[in-house]
Amino acid sequence: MAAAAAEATIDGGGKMIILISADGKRFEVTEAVASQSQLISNMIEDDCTENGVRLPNVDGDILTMVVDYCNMHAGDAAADGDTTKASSTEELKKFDAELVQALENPVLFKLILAANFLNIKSLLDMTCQRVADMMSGKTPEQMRETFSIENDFTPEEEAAIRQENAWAFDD
Amino acid sequence: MKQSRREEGDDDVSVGKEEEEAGYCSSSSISRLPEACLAHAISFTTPTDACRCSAVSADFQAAASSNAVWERFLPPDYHSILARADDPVDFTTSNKELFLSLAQDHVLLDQRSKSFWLERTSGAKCYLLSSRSLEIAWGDDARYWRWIYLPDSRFERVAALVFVCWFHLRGRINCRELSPNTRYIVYLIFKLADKSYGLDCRTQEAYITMDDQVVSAKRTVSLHPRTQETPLDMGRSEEVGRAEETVSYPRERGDGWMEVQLGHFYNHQGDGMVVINLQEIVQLNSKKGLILEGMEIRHSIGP
Repeated sequence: MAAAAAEATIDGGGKMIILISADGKRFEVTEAVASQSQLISNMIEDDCTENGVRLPNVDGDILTMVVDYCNMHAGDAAADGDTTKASSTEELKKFDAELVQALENPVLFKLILAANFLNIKSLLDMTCQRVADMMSGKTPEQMRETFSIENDFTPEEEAAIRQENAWAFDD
Repeated sequence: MKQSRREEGDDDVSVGKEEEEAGYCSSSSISRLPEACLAHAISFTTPTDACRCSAVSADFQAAASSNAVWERFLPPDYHSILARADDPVDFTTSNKELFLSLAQDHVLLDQRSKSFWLERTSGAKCYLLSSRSLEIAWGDDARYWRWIYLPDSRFERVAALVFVCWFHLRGRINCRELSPNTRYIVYLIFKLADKSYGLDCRTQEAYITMDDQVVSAKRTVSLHPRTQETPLDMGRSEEVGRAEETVSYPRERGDGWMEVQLGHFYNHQGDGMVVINLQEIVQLNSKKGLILEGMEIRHSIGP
């Protein structure tokens, strides 16, 4: 039933859904765009999007990014290999790369939380990949610095952890 | 999923699940990410990075040790590989423990014909094909090759060369058994008996094919260590320096065995048979005293 509904929106027209951010900003998107969020897709299936979808977990500035992302990727997800989709793969790659590269850490983490909450796998993967790139090849000290993390281990605890996987710490 | 009628700005989430876990999305520090998100990010790194993450903080340690992270580092087909293990493998441990045990110790597969392990820094699948699993010219004729027991072998029997002129070893492995998009190096693992000779002929060559296409070009392989005066029958002296560069010489492994590189190849995704050859079928000089553990196919780390 949901599949039939999604198909109708791809073929043009399509129902619109209102997303409402924590700070009351409203975003009007097609069902095809919104249903890249598994959470919203489930709500569409359950027919409970009539009065708009309130997302009290997501700020307006973050939701703007999420909606931009979903707009760019709508053809992508729906067409599934169909060459008629609006945005070319190259364009999408460029858009994605610019989106994550430009993010300051606090915004990146908010976007991860939003992608996780809304259950948008591709956006979650992309943002987590960015965090992975920042971890990659770093020592624990460098990671603490990169992510402003307090070391909450006692010296003994930390020594034991390093001892356990000593091979990972030889440079 | 029902929508609530709460006012905007209400801290209590109206849509969603695991609200406390997900937290309000205004949190701006990595420490506010739920463990599953942090683990998801760590799973995009490497086993080395994940072990280093463990030493960052208690939150990082919990995420970096999670089964989700190490499930991704284990090969996707590890269940079916370990089902072929000759001695049962303990699956009750955490994924991290399983990974580290497979990186530290090898497992014998397929009636003890090959040994399997994971490269620790990447999780790439590595194998040692036993001499029994290789095609050895004259290998079943006791005048030429004997099958002996050695306490420091991984296998029940190793091939010991009595004497041959026609020397040809061939190992095979299917690409599917290897990790995709990974560079591999192949080594011959062996020892020399006291009275070994003739295993350094200029025409003793190794090469590797994948579906009959050469993927590692012919190279001269000496099983005798490099000595001051080049043992190879080089002809004119000015050619020696040039030829030396293309000769593979063995080195001690520190486990009682020696290894010499036979070639390398890149395993793309897909099917195909990799065939590794080592042969001297030109000069046909007499050869003696090789004790053969097998052919090792391991992930090439570094650039």
